[in-house]
Amino acid sequence: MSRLTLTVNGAKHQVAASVDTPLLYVLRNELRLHGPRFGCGLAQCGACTVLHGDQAIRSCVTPVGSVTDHPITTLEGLGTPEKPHPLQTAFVDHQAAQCGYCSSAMVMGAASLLRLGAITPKTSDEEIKTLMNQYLCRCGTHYRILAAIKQAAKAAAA
Amino acid sequence: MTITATEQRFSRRTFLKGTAALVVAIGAPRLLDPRGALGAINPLMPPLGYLPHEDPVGVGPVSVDPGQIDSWLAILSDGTVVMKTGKVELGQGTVTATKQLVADELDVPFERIKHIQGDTWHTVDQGYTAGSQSTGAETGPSGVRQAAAEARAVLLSLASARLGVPVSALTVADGVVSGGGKSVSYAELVGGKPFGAPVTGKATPKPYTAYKVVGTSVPRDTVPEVVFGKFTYAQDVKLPGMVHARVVRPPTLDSKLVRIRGFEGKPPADFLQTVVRHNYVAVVARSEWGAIQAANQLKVDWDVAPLPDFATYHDAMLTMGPSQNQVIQDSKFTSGLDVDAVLAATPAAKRVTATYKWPLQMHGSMGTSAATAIVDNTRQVATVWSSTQGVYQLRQCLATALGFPVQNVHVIYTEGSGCYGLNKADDVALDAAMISQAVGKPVRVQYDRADEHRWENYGNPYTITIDAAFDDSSGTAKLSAWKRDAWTSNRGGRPGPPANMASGILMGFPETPFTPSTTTTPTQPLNFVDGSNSAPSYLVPAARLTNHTVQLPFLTGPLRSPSRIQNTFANESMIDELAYAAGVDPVQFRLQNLNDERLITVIRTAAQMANWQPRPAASKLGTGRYRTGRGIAAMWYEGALGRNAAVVQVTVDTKTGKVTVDHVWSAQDCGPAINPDGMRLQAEGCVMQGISRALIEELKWTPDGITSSDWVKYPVIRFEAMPAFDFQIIDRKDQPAVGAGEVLITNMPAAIGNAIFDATGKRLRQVPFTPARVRAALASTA
Repeated sequence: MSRLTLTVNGAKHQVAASVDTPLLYVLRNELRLHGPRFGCGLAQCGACTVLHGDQAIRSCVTPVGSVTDHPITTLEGLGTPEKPHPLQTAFVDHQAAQCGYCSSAMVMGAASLLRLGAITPKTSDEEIKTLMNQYLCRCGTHYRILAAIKQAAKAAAA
Repeated sequence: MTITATEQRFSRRTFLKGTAALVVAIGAPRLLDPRGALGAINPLMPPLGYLPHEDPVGVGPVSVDPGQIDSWLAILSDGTVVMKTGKVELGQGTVTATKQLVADELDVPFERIKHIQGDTWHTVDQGYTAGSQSTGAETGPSGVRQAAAEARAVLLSLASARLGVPVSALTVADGVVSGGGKSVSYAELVGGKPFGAPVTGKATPKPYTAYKVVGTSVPRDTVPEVVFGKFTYAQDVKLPGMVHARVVRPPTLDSKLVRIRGFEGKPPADFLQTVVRHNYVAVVARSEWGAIQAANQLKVDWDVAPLPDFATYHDAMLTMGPSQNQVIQDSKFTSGLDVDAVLAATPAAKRVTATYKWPLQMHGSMGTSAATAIVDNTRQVATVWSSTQGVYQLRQCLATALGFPVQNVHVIYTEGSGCYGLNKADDVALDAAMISQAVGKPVRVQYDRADEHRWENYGNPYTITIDAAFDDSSGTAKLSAWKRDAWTSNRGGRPGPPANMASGILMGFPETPFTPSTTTTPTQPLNFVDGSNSAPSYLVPAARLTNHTVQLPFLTGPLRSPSRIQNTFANESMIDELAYAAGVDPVQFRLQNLNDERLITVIRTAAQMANWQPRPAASKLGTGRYRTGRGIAAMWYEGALGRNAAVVQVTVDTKTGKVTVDHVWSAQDCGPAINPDGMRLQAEGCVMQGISRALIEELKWTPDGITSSDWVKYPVIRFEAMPAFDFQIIDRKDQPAVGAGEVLITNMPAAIGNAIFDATGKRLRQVPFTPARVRAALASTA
């Protein structure tokens, strides 16, 4: 058991945890953040995606002890209804969620790609598809997600 | 054979191996008082203000009377309209569409309508939210549209009395009734009070042509909550004092528990106890991570019941017996035509016999199923939060399992990960309730990915043989005979009996016995497109359709377009094979064998959208490595719901066997489109899921167990496979509204198979069309 200090969505939290506990359970059960969700526990689907600094990570397989060095951002911390992130605006505009269980994968995954400059207004559809291929959606909302990411890339660059 | 279950569960988690975790947050949110917490969890209860701050655990009504307006609608003192439906939002958009109907019937703004869905204390039992039935149910005489029309009549009558103006002189706008220079709002008339009036059946809903909100693409109000992380899924329901549980499954469904050997060394931190009943094992811990570790580390010995041979199960279904055999259509009983005699008299060139195979497939919800339950053994009451498609049916199941009267079990629907049918939402609710009963605490259960993948009620496997013929002696090729035998396997199903699902079987509840039977008197008229699309949507003078059901050791249950997609794959492939044999363009062949004008319109529209060039299939074969072709499929869903035609263009890599869907064009007639963008979104989902099921998805196993245990071993479609998609809605405001969730997907596999044939001249008759199967077809001389 260790005492760890995590910065999550701009606030510092002290947690007592063994360092190998997956970050997901600390976020969901101790900090009550439900944006990141359990999908597979195997880093295969992306439903648990959060930002570690600017990098998208799979919180279901990331030991909490390994992420104290950079701030963590979840869906809740990316933007608010009052001050939405361009991706959140675009996902609402394009109705880019059916059940929405994959929204941490899609929104946080794309947010990282925007921050890292991997997706810009000039990125082609095919390149975005390749970059987003690591994230699973079962409802088949891919068309809307692609359109939303393109809109957000333009808005973020403006 | 006895093996330990531990190795297979633990091996993939070595990266996390180490000391157990106890996570304690400093300054974690304080536990709320139970009622406040429950109110926050169930947003449908206290916040709306009209319900008392009731404890959701207790004895409720046996049923909610569908004959009372109050069972469907309430108007709060601030003018908010509360819509109450047994049909629930699964991510498909049905609640938004239904609110649009209420907005138009009552003339209130869409934003003023809140809703309560799927709550055994507060909503009418409308059956399952399934099978594309919600739109038809809610717009029909027993749905919320009728209730809203009744409510409007009551409100106008009250307003007439209050204002002294005849009803005929009243108008409504924005929830305010006006006439004779005076006005009164709905809130002033009945706000915060019950209607106290029956659904008479006499009120007439407005026609679709008079609607203003219906027919527009109102955005779904759940989307902002979802993308800001504010949405409460069934996976997010938490109760004060709650403990966490996970199941520990045997290698196969019919395996027997030999003994629980326990943990090697100390149990994981937070571990509380095991719960064992018959062959059912679960672990309970104070924390979720503790429960996960305990499930992974608990050593259990099982006597393994082996699974049948994977390579031969499609053929084995035909001979394994015992079986249930039922002739559903036979022209001998109507026109007297004997299909065997017609076939025997047909020249070989005008007759095609083929067998089509469909695998077991999974729902594959992105989130593993979860439920939370409180069972109070002293008061004999239980409350369960579940993403079930049928709260009443689940209530019955849980009451049976717990040994409580039904009114003592309260099931509250909470949306989960998309289910597409009977995923494991009901099974996990049974887990949560039974474990809570055993430990005397509120319990949350969420499955491991392998528990979800390996323990589903899968979509049914099929082997379908069709022997069919055409007659072109008149100069036009017309279907003349259609003899079809479909074999499937069925075990378990939706709740009702607890043993319809895995946990119930493992707990030792009795399964519904499988009784062999044979019926030769047809149950349906000829050419009747039944609820399973057993018959093609075309006219055939001589036909016999027979269903055969056996029981493989796999649980099955409805999966998006259940049986309809399998039957349509066979039917629409065979239609294409007959068109090819007749040397007729596949679109033209369909049109000349149809009499349903709406389906004809849909086919013509899709062909036009795709700029379809009439010619027999496979008459312009390419020669290079990459070959492109186009195929069509069309059908009338269940012979009662939507009509759809899909044209698909594929490119086949003849070296690797990889099939790429390049473009999909589809036209669809579901009557009036209540929310056109919602219908389009469903169609997009149908394209992606349809390609996934046609090209990739197949449950696999060895004798020792199901091996399709995760997203690598059971892959689904990803972004890179998105085709171009053009979709056209044929909006028929003069017709009843029907569901649109499963229409296009039903055509996708056959359309893809037909396109592969057009590209290569080779017919794929087994789904999925994997690269190996495509290569084998290309290498064959058939």
